[in-house]
Amino acid sequence: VLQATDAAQAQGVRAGQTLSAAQALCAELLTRERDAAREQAALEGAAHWAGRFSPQLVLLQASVKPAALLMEIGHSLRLFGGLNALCARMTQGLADTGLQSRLGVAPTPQGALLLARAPFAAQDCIAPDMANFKARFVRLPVQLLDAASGCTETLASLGMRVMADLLALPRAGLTRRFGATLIDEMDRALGAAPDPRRPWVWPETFASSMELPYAVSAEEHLREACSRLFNELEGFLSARRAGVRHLQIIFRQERKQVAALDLRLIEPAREAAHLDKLLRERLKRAPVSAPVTHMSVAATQLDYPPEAPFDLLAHQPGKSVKQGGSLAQLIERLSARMGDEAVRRVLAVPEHRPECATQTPAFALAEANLRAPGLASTMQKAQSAQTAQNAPQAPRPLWLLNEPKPLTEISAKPQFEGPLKLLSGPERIESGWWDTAQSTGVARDYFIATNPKKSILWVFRERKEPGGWYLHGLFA
Amino acid sequence: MDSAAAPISTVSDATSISPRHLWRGDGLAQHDPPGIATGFAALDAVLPGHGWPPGALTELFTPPATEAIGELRLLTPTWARLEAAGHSLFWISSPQLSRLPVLPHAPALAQAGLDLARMVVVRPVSEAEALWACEQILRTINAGAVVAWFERATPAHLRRLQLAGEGRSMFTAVFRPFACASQASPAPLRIGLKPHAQGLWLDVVKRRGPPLSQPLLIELPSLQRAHESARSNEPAAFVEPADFAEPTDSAKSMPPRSPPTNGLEGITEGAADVK
Repeated sequence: VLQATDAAQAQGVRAGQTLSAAQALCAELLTRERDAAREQAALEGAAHWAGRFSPQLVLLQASVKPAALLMEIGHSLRLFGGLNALCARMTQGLADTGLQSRLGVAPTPQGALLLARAPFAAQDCIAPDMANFKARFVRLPVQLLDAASGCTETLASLGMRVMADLLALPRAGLTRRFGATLIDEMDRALGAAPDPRRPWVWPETFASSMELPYAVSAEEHLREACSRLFNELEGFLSARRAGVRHLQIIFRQERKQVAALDLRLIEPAREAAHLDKLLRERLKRAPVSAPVTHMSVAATQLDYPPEAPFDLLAHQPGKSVKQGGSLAQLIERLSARMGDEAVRRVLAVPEHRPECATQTPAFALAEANLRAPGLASTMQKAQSAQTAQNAPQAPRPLWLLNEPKPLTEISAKPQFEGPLKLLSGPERIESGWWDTAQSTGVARDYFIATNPKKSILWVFRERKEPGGWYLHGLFA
Repeated sequence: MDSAAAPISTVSDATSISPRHLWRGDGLAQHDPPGIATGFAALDAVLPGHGWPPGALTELFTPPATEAIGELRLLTPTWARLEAAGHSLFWISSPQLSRLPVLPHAPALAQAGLDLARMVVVRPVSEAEALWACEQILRTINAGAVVAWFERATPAHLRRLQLAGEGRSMFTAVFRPFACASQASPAPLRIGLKPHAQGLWLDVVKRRGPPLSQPLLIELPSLQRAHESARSNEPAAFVEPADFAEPTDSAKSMPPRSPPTNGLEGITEGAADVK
């Protein structure tokens, strides 16, 4: 038995007992086998999440003692507004991750580890300087030392309860009796001995998954679960100083894939809140149909955008001016809700046939293809300058019909809500034989015309067989 | 002396403290920030703040089942200026925008001086989606221009949009059918548009100021003249004349294209048209 719930402990089940002993004490005991892989995954998830505070982490896997995460926060204090603010944010954030945790702060990694495991009140586990830490260290129970795990009973029989008792003994005798590790561990905690540790290496790409406690399909439950993963992603990205461009979210029911979402971003994104908004719009548009038990988030395309300068005055409280959002984020949100095809940009093509002169590619895809920073990339600027020169001189209508609309003729006069009156023209637009899609090209005479309702229209007379009049544009 | 001076000074204080926030019903309201110039001096002169209201809705009404009277050419000068200042232009082209399926035409946009790289065209499938997109844009973007077409939007919808854009300086133009002009609306500027041979009749339904008794004629750049000058620049007129029923006759029957002298004939003719 490694851990027992409160209810089981009330029945006398304790950590360290054998399973048969525990079952003898409590017949209806429910046991779960320990899953090292999932423990490791949970620890890495917590490490990802913690990346927002500091990229220097050490992961300590669970043994008899619970798993631990060591972080170097000395360089992060100013950024997060001091130790108290940082601790408050960590406690809050850890509660949101769904893991049970305790915080310990000390000048040495070993000291922080001891304090986090200490049976003290939460505020007593935070010792910002050495003097403070020493005062707490002497009151720590000796069982907390890893080296003491083999000799707890001997220590107890010697009357050694707290660290102060051990510190009072001569070092040479203590070393002879319990080996060098006990003294060494205490020295490392007090900063008297070097304590090199192997830092965790951040992976190149992000992938994290979670299992839901029960199958859900409602949007808000899925979002809540996903926002945990997004929080991990945000920490991971801020530790790597990266942004994500392409995010894949997979919902599974046991082993069967229920839905897979691809979030493509115009600008590399990092904030969990923004990703959460995009997911909400996507789920509104295409709800997940079947119950989901597992979900995973993978970020394969990372990008390293230049860091925005940190605004000295931006974090003042009570700033009431409405903040404008970024255009890219807005377009991502619109595309997520309405589909990539619904948000388009307009590109001019140097082409004299009206129906070929405009391209409206989907904004998100056009931007992803160009891979250019910012929205008005230099390439497009050059292109639009060029098309301004190439633009036809004769007036063109702001709205062009998708397909020319054939007009009926009454006594040889074309009709569109009444007889048309030609205002000016003709302008001949011809050919395009090189285009295979329209094998024969066009041959038309365009006129500006008006009808009794005084709409101004762009009509043409087809010069090829069978002829006839067509409406092609609206001078709106 | 003191007793006589006191009331006068309080009155002058009241007017001097908040000339911008105090609107007297007989004058045009002052905008803070000032309006966005329309590019038409005659229109600027009658609008409060001398331009389109920034951060508020401008409702434009078009005649039923008619399009292409020059409603967008009225707005392109403003858009071109906003884009030149580095802002974006959003077109929310609703499905029921026109009875005909239409697309924006890039050469025409370039001719109007618009920067295509700063244009975003949103094509929602329903009016509800169009309203949502419009609100998102107004909530996020600080300055620039939005144009949208709504047919069934209620005053409550418009109020949402009005609130979303408040405190920013977007130029928001909303096209609605003429029948909506009689509905209540939170938009501070509402203008009915009617066609005219030289441009548009603007009937200011509502503004922050005294009501305008007469519709206003705004002359748009003539398409025919642009066409003619473009043709004269071309090397040679090698086109054969169209054998369409008496083109010369129809050209004669066009209204005389005398330069409008702001005379009474033009207004009365147009007014007769309007009724």
